[in-house]
Amino acid sequence: MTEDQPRTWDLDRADPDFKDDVARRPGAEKIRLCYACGACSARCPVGDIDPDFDPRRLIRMVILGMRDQVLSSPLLWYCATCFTCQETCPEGVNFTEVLFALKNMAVEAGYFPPAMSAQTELLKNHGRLYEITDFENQNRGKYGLPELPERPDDFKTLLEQLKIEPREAD
Amino acid sequence: MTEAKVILLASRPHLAGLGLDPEDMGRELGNLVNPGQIRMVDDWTSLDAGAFSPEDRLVLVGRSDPWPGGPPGQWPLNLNVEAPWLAGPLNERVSALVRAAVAEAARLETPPARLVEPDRTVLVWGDGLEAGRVVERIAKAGFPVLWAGRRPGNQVPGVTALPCSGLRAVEGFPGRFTVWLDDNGHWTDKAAGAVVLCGRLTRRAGLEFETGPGLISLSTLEDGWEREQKPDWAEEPGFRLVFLAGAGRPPTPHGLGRILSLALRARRETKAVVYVLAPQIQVAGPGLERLSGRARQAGLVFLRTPLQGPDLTVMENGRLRITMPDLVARADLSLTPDLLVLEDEVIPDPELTDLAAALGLTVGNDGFPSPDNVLFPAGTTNRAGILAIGPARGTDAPEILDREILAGLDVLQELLTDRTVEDRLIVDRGRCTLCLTCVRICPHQALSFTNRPWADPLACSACGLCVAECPMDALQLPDHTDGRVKARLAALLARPRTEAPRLVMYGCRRSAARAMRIAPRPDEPVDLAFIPLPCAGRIEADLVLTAFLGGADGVLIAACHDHNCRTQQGGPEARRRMGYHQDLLAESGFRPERLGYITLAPNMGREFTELVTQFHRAVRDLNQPPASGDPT
Repeated sequence: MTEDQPRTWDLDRADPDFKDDVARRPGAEKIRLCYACGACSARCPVGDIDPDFDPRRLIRMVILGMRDQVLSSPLLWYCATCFTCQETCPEGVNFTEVLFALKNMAVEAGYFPPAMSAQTELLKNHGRLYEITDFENQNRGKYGLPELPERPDDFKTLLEQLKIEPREAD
Repeated sequence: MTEAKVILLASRPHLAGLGLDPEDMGRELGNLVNPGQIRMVDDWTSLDAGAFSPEDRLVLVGRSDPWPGGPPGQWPLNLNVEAPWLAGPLNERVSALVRAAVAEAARLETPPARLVEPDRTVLVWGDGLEAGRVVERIAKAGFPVLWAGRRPGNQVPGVTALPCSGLRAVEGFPGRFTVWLDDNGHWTDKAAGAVVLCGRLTRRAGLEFETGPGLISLSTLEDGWEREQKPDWAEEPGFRLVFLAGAGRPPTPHGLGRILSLALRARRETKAVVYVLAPQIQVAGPGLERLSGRARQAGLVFLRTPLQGPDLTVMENGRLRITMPDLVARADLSLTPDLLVLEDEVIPDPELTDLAAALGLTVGNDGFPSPDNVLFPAGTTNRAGILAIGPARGTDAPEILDREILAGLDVLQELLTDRTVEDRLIVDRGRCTLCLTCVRICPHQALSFTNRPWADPLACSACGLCVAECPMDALQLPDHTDGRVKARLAALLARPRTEAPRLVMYGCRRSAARAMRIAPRPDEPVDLAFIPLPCAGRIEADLVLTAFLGGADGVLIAACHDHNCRTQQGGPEARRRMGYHQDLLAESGFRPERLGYITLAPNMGREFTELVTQFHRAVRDLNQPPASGDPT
């Protein structure tokens, strides 16, 4: 993300309502309380591996109103959901919950990460995140267990109703 | 000068702790006083106070502080503090220190004391809410109050209103001032024991910009809104309203509170996007933490600027553009405000500036006549009995004003109470030629003259600036007479020389002497004779040259840090004289570097050792045999 960001962020072009939209999502109500102490970033295990994943910076971008940059960012999907940031935050910002909200908003805005795309594809074709092959069913037969059916049609309908269309992220 | 009987009390455990044989040492010390006037002490608590007369002078070897219950003339001597700083055999060092203490104790003097009965009337100068609050609180504390100002009120009982157009002069001394008031050319004088300057509140925007379109001061926006005039931009969606707090310095808690309140109001009552830019958000004020939490929750955007403020550029279309780095975003931010609100700060009213000059009050860098010195209660000026609080001290926050009033009341209570005070300055009427150098040099306006000069004991801080400057040596501080200082110097310099260069330190008794108590011992043998002075400002050519004549290789002046001096001007005055003293040395063929100047605070023991060791090495290098022709 850092590479393709301009060095100067023009706040005149930012969307000041973005933080308020995020704060209306369940779990993300307290995002505006962040005073950028950095406790979340300091303890984030993902940040240890990829310094680009910086919770404090993501919150900052939300507060500054950088809607497109945040929602299109693949970083949203890096979170390991360990909840350490949430337990650490002195202001109760609940960043893990904020990320769920942001991921929902990203998908609504049409930003799909490739992994999510692949998972949707699996659901659509197999009705499961893990394909059931002949190997599994043969094994089950050895123990007298019934074959597992794949019922992708239910999910197809569901995904259509939710208007979630698998596509490549930008 | 009378020499009183000196009795030496030496602690056996103290001497033994130093590695000396108490009996041997006792016999040696006994030779320093008249026969029979040394007593060895095993336990200070077993001493009988009845065994001494009030005229006796006691030297207490092995104590840091006087012995409670003993006679008034006591001279404690803790050898553990001073002995490590001298070089040579231990018993020689101990005898020299005891000899110095005996010489000083013999010259202890009790200055004449007199009863002072100060006038308890307090004159308050100023207008506005702040002055009213000050007047009310002082009157409630039981002082008769004269309220002088353009429109003083008289509702408060015990307050006399004195409408006038200006305060012109404050003559005399605390407890008996004469205050001159000007009512449009008609001058009247009023008697008062103390004067409280309050003045009136004057503000200026913190940045050097003319206010104009797109730029407004916080007070102007506040005042407009106070009068229920909703700004014309209130209904404009996305209007960028930017508050700039404390450029060049962090915002004051009170200033931040004003900004947050108004910014919250803007967020509630308008459609603007509200930014608050500040180098630092300090919430240590009443209700501030809650206010800042509410401000964040309401969606105000806080941006941290560099301390000197963000970069402001005027674009081609005449609008301002703000740019600054953002550490959290790890990028630069840019923003063009539709309206930029500048925090304004309290500045000295021009009238106050004139008044300070007329009253001889020293003003600080901020232009206010109350020194930024933690050793003094808030509002104290260089003249005892004249206080500057509220707007006259740059204060607009009610809660800070309240604390200033409390501090001021303490000062007034102490100053305006009948009591017996000792004279702080002795004048030798035969020597004085009435040149009045003393009257002019005194930073506290504590001296006046009738036939001969004298110092008011309530105004005098006993710094000794006048003593040092007197060309006739006609002035003395009773507890640091020339005779006593020189007797101590002579006793310490009478020891045989050692390898180490011989150093003399004239140090402030409030800073250097205390730092010495906690200073780690030097790594190499240093020979430092420590001579306490009441204040570094007391140093004069006579003392410097006497030390060199007595065999010193180097003389070190140890003052307090500027703005941390009990007498306010001691350090700067001592430094000013350094040049003169070094010229004298150069003229007499000495290297001027043999005279050094350092500053210490009472808690700087480590620095004491470092600075003395540094000076010791520098003087040792100067002592190396010089190439022929160089000055020594």
